[in-house]
Amino acid sequence: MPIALDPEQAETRVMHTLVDFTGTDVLEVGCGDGRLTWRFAEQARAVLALDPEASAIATAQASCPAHLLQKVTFETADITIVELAPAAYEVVVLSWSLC
Amino acid sequence: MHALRKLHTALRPLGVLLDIHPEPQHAVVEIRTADQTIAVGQVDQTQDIGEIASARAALRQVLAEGLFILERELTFDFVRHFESVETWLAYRAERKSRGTIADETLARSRALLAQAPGELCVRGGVRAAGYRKA
Repeated sequence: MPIALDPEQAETRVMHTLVDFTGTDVLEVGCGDGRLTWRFAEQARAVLALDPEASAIATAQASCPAHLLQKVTFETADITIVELAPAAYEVVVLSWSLC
Repeated sequence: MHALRKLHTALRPLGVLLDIHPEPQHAVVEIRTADQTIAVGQVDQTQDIGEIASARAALRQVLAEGLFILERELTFDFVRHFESVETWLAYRAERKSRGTIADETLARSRALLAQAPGELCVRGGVRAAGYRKA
């Protein structure tokens, strides 16, 4: 494989150690191409994944596994501008996006 | 910080903010073969390190304001594996990655990969923390 990102699954293990995603409504900020989204979407009830880059969102939408299409929504959005529903999520994931 | 306050509002009571971001350090470039791992240099991420400091200051501020409570934090190595120097450079270009790489690092990497089958790995520290909405 020409490129492999964290095949050791260290990030996934740590993420699930810190948060129980089971049955949760999740907001992901800075989802990029969905790389991290797939690592918790299985357990979540619903996921809204945002990224300011339209091209990244297009890639994420195109590569979304079929069985996750019903629960994962990708949107192009800037977190500093987008309107968010209050008290709508059990989990917010800042995916390498705070800095 | 404005974004953190907005995310606080978006969370349900006792909801969790999971923040994942790089440690403020330069990533290490390694060549890994079947027999050994050789550190060949680093990615100078001085600009990114400055931004990480600002981000952490914003987190400290919202913690000080009582918006969130730090529950637990963990650090781990995040490793990106590439079959060649060129694959790595193309990956960086596609993502408009910042950070600088010394020519010597690239030359040594190419030389080592020409000698034996292996891969180029970029290893960086990452911090993940769970914050409970207060």
